Amino acid sequence: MFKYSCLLLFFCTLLFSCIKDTDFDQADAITPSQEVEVNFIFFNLEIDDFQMDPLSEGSLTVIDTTEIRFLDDDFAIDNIVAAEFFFKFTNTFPLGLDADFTFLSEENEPFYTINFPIQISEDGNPVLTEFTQMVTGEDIELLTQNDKVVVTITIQTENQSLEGVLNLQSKATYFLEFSDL
Amino acid sequence: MGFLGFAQNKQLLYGVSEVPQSLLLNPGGIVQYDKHFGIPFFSHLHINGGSSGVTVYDIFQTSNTSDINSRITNAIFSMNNSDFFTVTQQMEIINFGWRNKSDYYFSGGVYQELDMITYFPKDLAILGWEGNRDYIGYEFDLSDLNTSGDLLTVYHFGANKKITDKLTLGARFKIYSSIFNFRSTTNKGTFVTRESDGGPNIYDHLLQGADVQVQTSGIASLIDNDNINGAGDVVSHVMGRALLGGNLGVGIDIGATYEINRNFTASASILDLGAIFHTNDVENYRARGSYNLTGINLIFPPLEDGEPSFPYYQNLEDEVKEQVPIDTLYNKYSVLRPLKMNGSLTYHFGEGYGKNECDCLNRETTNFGNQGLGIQLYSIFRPKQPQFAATLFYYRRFTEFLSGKITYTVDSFVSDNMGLMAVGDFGKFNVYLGVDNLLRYGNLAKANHVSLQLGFNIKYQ
Repeated sequence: MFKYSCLLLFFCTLLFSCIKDTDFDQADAITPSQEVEVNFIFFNLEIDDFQMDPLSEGSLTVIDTTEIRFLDDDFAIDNIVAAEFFFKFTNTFPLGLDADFTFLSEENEPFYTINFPIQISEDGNPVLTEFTQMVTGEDIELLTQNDKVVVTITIQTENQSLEGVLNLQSKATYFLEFSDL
Repeated sequence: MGFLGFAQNKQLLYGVSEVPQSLLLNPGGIVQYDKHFGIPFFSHLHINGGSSGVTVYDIFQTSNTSDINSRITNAIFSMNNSDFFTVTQQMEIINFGWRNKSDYYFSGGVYQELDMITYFPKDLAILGWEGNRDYIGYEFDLSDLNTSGDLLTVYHFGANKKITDKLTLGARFKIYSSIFNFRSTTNKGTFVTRESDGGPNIYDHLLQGADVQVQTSGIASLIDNDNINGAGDVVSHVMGRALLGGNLGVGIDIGATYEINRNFTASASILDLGAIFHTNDVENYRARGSYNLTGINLIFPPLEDGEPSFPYYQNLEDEVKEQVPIDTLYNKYSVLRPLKMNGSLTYHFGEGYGKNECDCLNRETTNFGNQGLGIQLYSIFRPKQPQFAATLFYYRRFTEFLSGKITYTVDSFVSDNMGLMAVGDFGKFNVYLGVDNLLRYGNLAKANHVSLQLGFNIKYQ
């Protein structure tokens, strides 16, 4: 009798094996959320790099553009929920400067802009200007329509023999949520 | 050459001489019958899935105190890069055997096998799940990427003979026909984001000594072949490679059983001592190099109106491709089969059954000792390191037609793996069914590892 009981127990174990206390529908809620920090733009400027700006009397301007191709990709549009740009200017010019970062779409339409003043160096020693721009909500939708950024630095002088150096280091932090896995 | 090992322990079937398929685990095992053949496609089915570091329940449990994302985060940090996920499946297509006049027992057949293993790439999982922001200065190890998989058909033929009253020896020759193979097991390098020390920008994003390689065979022709349209063409293509039309390999199994005395028997086997040579339909990918991504360096060149700006972004992409090129290679490669070793020591006791007188050293005919208690040891070479399992077992032959084996195994997955096998001999019809991890059968979601093996044979005494 014992042997048949064992056999019966064996097959009952198989029959009643199951998966319980689980909910596989939770797979829809899996949302990896990365925070990716990457270098952004950097440069060094001296007064020779600046040009007279016909649109702005009494100032010198320097301007350059770079693509940021991934920014308007479907991947970025779908998954970037916030972004943070951090700029660190080191200035030895004895004058104030303005920094402008205008993001342009593929059709060169400006959808998002960051601008801020750069502090003066009174005595020629390096002066640090740190600026952080957080981009969230509807602004992210604007930001991710662009695939390039135009950088414009303006110095309030027409004196092209001015001594000084302007250095930029910057980084971007992208907050991603992959909600449609 | 590299090791590719991931088939699983079959501690339930090992040494159960009523089942002809036990000869595939020890070609030198005791053979209790004169002829057998398996029911085609149903003589041996083995399914095995396992995860050494996490269970389905750990992730998908119904819980009011945590959400699934926090549970995944916990799982990522609780596992390490030696944890692994495996899927193994075997289906025997043909199996047959017979004893000749010289008392050799010959056996052969064909079976199909799928084996896959992926070690948990902890560093890459952290980077993919959380990003690098909280890991400034941490070196993500690219060698954590370690995965391999194989789908193949095995043609085998072996011989078994009782050499003396005590010693039985056996060997099996195998031809492997690989349907597909992929492996990425020797990766190197690190990726780190660290604060720049005097560099041009805030960080250095350093890819250091990267050497990441994926080898494939039998896959490129499936993807790139314009003549393959639909499931029918895929099946036809796969069947061609299964029927010795793919990459071939050879191997051997050897084994022995020694009946020490009236009560004790020892056995051992070495399986899959061989290799597969991947020479056709090979496509490998390799990325090598080092690079420091510092960002985009604007140089503000003087431009005329309408003149395009400097192609910084394109230059950056080109620089990365130049420094870390991804090459597609077609060089041949060989993969050692996962070498497996079994050993056992059994103490036989209990009364005999049946009508014959006891002849203690001729158990296959007189059925001395309807019970056995013993230990089995198992090891297998895996891509990172060998793995081991130890099993305590109790075997009992209940009647002439019914026997069973219960096992307690400590292995890489768990330390309390209870398994049970039942074998029935109903006339000439032989049936067996074995399952692992019985303690988790109340809720399989909590099992690190589940395994099922069953089959049907016809045996002639």
